[in-house]
Amino acid sequence: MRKNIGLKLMLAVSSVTVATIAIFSYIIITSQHQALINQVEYNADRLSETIKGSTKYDMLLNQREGVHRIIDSIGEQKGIEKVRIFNKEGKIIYSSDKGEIGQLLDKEAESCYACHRADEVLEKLTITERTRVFEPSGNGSKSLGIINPIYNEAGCWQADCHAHAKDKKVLGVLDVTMSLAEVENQIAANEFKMVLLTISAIAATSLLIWWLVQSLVGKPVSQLVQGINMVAIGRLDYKIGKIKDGELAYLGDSFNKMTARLADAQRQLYHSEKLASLGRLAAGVAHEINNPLTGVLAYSSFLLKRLEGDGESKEDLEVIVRETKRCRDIVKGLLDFSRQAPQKKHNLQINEVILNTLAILQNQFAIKGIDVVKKLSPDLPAVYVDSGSMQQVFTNLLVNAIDAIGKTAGQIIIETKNEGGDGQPAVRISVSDTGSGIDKKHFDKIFDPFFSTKGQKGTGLGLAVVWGVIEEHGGKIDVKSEVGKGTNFLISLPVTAAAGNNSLSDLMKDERVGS
Amino acid sequence: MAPKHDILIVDDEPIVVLSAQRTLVPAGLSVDHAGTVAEGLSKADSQGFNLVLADLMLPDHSGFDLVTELRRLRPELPIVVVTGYATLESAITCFKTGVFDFVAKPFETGELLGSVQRALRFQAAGKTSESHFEATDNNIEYYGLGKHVQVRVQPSGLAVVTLGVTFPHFMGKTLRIELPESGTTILQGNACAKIINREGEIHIVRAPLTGSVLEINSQLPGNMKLLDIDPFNRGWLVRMAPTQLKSELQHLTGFARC
Ligand SMILES: Nc1ncnc2c1ncn2[C@@H]1O[C@H](COP(=O)(O)OP(=O)(O)O)[C@@H](O)[C@H]1O
Ligand SMILES: [Mg+2]
Repeated sequence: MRKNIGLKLMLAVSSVTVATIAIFSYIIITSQHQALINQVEYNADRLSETIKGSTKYDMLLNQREGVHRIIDSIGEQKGIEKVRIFNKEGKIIYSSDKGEIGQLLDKEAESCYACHRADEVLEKLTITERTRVFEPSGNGSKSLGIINPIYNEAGCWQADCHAHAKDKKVLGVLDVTMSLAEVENQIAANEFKMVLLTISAIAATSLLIWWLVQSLVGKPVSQLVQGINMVAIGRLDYKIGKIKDGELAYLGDSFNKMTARLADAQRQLYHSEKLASLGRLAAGVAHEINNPLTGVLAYSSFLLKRLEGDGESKEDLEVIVRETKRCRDIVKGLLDFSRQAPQKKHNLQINEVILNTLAILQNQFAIKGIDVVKKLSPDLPAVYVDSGSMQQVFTNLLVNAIDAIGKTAGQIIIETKNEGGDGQPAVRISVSDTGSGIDKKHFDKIFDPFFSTKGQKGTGLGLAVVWGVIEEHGGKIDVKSEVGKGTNFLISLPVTAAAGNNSLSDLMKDERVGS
Repeated sequence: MAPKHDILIVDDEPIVVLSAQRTLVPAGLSVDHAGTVAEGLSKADSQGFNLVLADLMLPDHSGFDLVTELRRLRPELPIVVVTGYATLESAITCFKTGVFDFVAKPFETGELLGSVQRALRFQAAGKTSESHFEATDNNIEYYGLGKHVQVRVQPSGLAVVTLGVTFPHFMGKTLRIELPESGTTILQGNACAKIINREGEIHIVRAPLTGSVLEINSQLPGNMKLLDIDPFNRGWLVRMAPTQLKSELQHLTGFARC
């Protein structure tokens, strides 16, 4: 496909180049041709004037030998094909071609035609009218002939020879024929140069186009194709390298953004599917396993009671009871996780939910000496959420932050922001602490149910629930953390077109809370 | 009439029935059993029992039907629901129909004994001379998971959990109490406190709401008497931040004191 683009471009540009150069060449060569012919014409005219001038004396004296000599010697010069003089009747009197002398020219002959056009003798002619270009038979190249009428003047009819009568206007014609071979050679040379120029122009532009296509289109496109292929085989982490500039750079950036989002969505989907199937599995397993576990637990603990005196058996039985209880706790944990409270969503100010959660945890902060900094944006759009679930999210995050800070004093910053960018409006909530931080190797696991670094004290369900709730609300959660410095959880909740606005305190009133 | 048996177990799983017998017979209790709702109802109607242990997953009907029908037929007969964690939510809803308690399968012997003995003691005490009654909408003072556990929700949204009226004086000689650590999340219906007596009975207090534990009554372990002498004030158990208040309140009953 890329080759096609390049080829098509080259073809198009080449044909335009050929056409342009051809037209130019035609114009240039024709005008050059004309100029050269004009030059020859002028030279021929000058020459014929010179011949007229130098033969005039001999003519007046009727010294024919002298005229012959002059004409012969001029006729021998390079480029001059023929010099001849013929009289009014068309009889050749002098000629550098001796064989011709005495012949009679037909008035239709090319050298006569100019004057005898339309059977009428023209006595005054312009230089162009006197000139003719013709192709002498047998000879490949063209010739230029110029006639020069010899007018009657006083010296002619007063001369002793009385060869000419006084009433004649034109006595004869001097005809000089010059070869155009030189001119033709030059034109041919120029044509050759033009063709050469055309070919090199095509070659140069093709090369340039090839290079441009390659570097501006070819390389970026192959980068894009490579990227698309990688995505097709599921490598969503693949990034297209920097493309210099232009639309393709924009395309590359968009592509990278798209794959990043895709990877994100896939991760979220993977996680939520994991959670959903875990819940189903848990319910099934729990149901099957509860009854047999009841037997084991009841019989072993009963036996334990009966064997009060027998130290060794008692110890063994204690192990059985303890481990059975552990089985029970695992099943229970799974089920706790898959238990989902029905949700009721309202348009709410998330700040209210946050303030409410902070108020509830107030004592905890005070006891642990934790400084809570609130940076809540006053102009947030409402979000459509279940207040209970959201409160659970913030409680879980804050309790984790309290745990992470531990016994030494620390700080928790909770921040809300209106985020309109990227098209989809969202509310961003950040909870950061100055606690212990999270080890990099745990990043993948913290949202998994039952992952906890807190031993007996932890359930490992806090963040799993947070994930579930945020996911359920179409939001996103991210975590940044550095061991020893602290942790930052970032939540983004989509803002859907809000219809009405319930405040949390209204909802609380609804619930008819007793004191 | 003097009952032929003390306890009727309605469960279709032989191992569960056997386990219950193994636990209860040594405690001097006689046990009969039924495998279906129909059989359970006919036995409970024709013979006198002091207590019914009812499973919620039965082959012919749902255990919920058994419970409501029993309540209608023999309102004075205490019912303890025995159910797996998978049906915990149904167990919670059973409190509204007036069941005494529930025991989650798999249970330890002490757990089953605790619920059964407490129910029998409560029953024997001739019960409700107490000063609590179901409230109308505007005079609710606290909520209860039946009479099992109480919770007061403060205007801030904070909740204080105390024992229900079925615990004080009916737990025998209390030995120790286990409370959750603050910071942990407890779910409605899961254990929120365990009170163990000298006979090895384990009295489990179910959480009335889901939420994070903020504070526990640190006086209790050292002064278990508070549970009997001032259960609703100084004998409070945990202070918590409920997270599903609105949806969970529907499982609770509003109460007032006179
Ligand atoms: N703010 C935090 N700072 C440091 N570690 C954290 C933080 N939040 C969560 N974690 C880590 O993630 C784990 C899982 O958290 P969670 O799902 O709430 O379970 P739990 O709190 O019961 O351990 C914790 O055990 C802890 O290691
Ligand atoms: Mg946690």
